[in-house]
Amino acid sequence: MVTCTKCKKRDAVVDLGYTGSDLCSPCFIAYFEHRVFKTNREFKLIQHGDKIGVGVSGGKDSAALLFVLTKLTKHVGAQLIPILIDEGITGYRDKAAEKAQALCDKLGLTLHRLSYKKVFGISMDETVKKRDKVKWRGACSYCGVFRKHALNKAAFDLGCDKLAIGHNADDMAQTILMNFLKSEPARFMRFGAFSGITERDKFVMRIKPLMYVTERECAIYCTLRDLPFHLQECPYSSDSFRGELKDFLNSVEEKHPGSKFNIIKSFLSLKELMVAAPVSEKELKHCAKCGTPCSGENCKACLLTEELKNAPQGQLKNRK
Amino acid sequence: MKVIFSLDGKTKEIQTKTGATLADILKAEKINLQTGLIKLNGKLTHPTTELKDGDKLEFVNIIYGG
Repeated sequence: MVTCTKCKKRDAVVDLGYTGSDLCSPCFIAYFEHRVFKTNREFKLIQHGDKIGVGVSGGKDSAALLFVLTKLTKHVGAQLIPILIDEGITGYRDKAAEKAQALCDKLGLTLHRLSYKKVFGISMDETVKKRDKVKWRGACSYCGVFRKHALNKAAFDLGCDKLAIGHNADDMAQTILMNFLKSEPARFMRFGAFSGITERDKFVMRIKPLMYVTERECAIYCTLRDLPFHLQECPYSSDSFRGELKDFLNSVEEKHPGSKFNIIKSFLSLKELMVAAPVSEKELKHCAKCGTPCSGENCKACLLTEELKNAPQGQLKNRK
Repeated sequence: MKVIFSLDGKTKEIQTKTGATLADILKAEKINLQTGLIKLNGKLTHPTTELKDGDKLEFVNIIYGG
């Protein structure tokens, strides 16, 4: 048995390769919460009086996020509003939603729900059936755009000042690498602890309090805290570029602990230089249909919804 | 000695040397620790913990695609 390097009393249950430490359950929980509190202080994410929407899915990341933020907001003096977006994926989101509801009940919070069906007039189950008649896109291409749009709408309608999402260090490192590999420097300007277009009508700024904790640490935290969370692969998930980078980064992290955090730190340093010499971006407009800030005449969610509405009914074969 | 190993709902018996650790089993099974949690007899356990004959080992995959 390995003894906890922090308290030097209890048996360690977690090895944190990038710090060289081995922690027992109470010391890991304290470490995890300290990282999130420190991130909040460093970037001034949640401040006194804020009304914070929290995107919850029933998964481990958002479960960890909601639980830590209940502690943090009590300390800071802010209000939390959990929001669940129901994509309409039978046998998947309904099960995850039960876990999200159970967590909210445990924390004494009201869970607000909004469905794709209500916002876009079409569920993900229906989207997948229709998309092959349009042009091939992975299900995640629709779902990613729809979820972001629906979460923003719910947070805006509920009067939230900010929207906290469960993006962790893994998500951050993947996105940074994706932007590099796709050569999209302009996206860097909108990415970070805060993301999206700031100070825009109808837009609620997204914040990432979990950016300095890993996906694995979120799962460990939920397990040690005995939080209800759902672990199941989405039936429509497909092999994606992000998925490839996820595998790559986990291999690198195993051999070179701390690599994920180093990518984030390097990016933040580069971003400071980019702020000094800004990358040109398209002028922002508002979607002619829904009013959401966007770069074209219509936002991506409205374009995809219209595309699906005009498509004949069809069934996708042999593709996820 | 023998240990019982579970992954994604599938269970199998693994023959291993005395003094083997959880990390040894993961390495032999080509599993990256970064992709999940390792439980010994139902509890989260440090990967360098030595196994005993009959131990039940479970790897909980937390990384899904997309």
